Amino acid sequence: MKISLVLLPALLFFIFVFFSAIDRSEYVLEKKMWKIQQQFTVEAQYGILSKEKSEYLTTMYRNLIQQYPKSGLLPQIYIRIGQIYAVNKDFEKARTSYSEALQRFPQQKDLCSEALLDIGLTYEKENKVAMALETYRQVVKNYPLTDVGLNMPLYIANYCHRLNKDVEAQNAFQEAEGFYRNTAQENPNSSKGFNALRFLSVTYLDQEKWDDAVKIFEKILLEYIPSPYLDSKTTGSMVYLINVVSIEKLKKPGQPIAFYQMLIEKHPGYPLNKFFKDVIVTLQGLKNRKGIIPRYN
Amino acid sequence: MKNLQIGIWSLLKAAIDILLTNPIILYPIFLLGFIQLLLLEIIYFSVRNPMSEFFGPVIVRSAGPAFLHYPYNYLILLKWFHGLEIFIAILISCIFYGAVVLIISLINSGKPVSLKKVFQQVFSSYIHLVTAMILAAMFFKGLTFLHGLIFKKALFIRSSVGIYFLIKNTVIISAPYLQWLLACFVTALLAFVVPIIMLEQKKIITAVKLNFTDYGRFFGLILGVIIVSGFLYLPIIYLQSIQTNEMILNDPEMSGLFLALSILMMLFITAIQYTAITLCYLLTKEEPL
Repeated sequence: MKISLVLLPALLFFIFVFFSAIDRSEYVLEKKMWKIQQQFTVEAQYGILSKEKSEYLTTMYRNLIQQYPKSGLLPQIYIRIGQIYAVNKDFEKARTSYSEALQRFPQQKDLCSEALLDIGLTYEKENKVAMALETYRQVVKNYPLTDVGLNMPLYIANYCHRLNKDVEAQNAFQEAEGFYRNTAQENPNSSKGFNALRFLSVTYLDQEKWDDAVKIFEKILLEYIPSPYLDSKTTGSMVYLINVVSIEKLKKPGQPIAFYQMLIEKHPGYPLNKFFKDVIVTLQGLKNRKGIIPRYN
Repeated sequence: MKNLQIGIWSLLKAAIDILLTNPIILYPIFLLGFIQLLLLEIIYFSVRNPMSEFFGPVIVRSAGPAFLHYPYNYLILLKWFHGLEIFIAILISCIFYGAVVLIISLINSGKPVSLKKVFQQVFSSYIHLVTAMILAAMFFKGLTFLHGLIFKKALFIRSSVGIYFLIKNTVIISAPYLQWLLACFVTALLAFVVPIIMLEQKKIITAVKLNFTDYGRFFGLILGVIIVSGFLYLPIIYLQSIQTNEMILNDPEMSGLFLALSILMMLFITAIQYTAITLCYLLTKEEPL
């Protein structure tokens, strides 16, 4: 018994040391990166990141690059170094760091699209509009199916709109519509197709094309029920938007009722049918009196 | 032990004295602690090579790919360990609680303690011990379900001032403490089932029956002992109740350490409680009250 009192804790310690030693994952590097990023985030959030602290943090990151020269996390480190420079308004250095990630790891498309977006954002902060737009268009061209790439056409349109460049904004919105429509067609029944349709609906909403926006929301529900992309929360927010736009903007409260009835008929065993039936009852009540449209998400 | 006065404090004091003078009683609890910490270690390494080969797909499917990485893996660590607790309690803990009871009984009768024989006897009653634990878990689940109904009702209170707001706040803030109290209640309610199974070699149904008929009068005393010793766990319940995911992510190592400490604290309390229950049982056998 006395031996086991020593042996068992020693065994726990040995297991810890053994598994830590044989671990070939990036866990230790992730941990070190997180600790540095925590220091950066806190100080950047409160606007108290000094030049000295920035230099210290970038040095820490550069040390990690030297310690782990073959790590798959290097592009992230370069992006984070760039972000530290960008917060300190040292945009040239920030772009150099982002470009390093782009040049050294062209195969990592998600991170490259993020790095290119960050380059565009530095131009945006410097009010170099043409350069920013050119960079954003490069994101769309080079990485159209990444998360950042999918978001970009709508971002470009809204950016032009924010700058009161009405003609450019109009063209950008039309380009975004075309991009999202094509992406959805080319990637049916996939997360890319699903997200493209969501962006298309938002593109219509931003332009106040209410009828088109509702049609796309309905298309999403019709095409992606049932699918893993359409969870109950997302469905709830779409139903809410369909109802609000149909009642408040289009003044057609009967339209969503007919749509939900059709949806229930098309998918009789769908788990959210009870929810759709409840929505129909609420909408029928609202048709006869003024009321608040309930939120479902 | 024959001179023992039955009272909450005297029973607790006697339990602690016996644990200090006979540390062998703590050995099964030490083994249980080892098993729990080993499981914790396995979960901790589940996101790292080579264990991630097996656990990785499960984590991705159940929580998402982010949870394979630092510091989100600590959220999995807490979630999975708390999920495992019920299985540990039912399938594993009962073995060691049974052993504690047997060891105390052997010490009390002046017989030598052979751990091999103790565990052999425990395993011969394993099915009844597991059933007793399932029964306790069902009681607890039933009571927490009822508490859950009250909790849900309170959440629907919309008042932001006045008596209803006060009721709502009280119900919400007291929820983890009430759950602790319910756990104490269930432990006290079935306190003598394990000693009866182990020391009288009774089957589960008879043990439950005897627990209520012969030992029901000690319910208040045992509940008092369990609540008083359980006070040691209240700081942990308080810290757990205010611990948010953001806090875990801010200091993940601390949350892991806190979990390990809470396991050890719970084991220490359990050792005191089972020693006190067994003492009370033996005392009634020797000297009927």
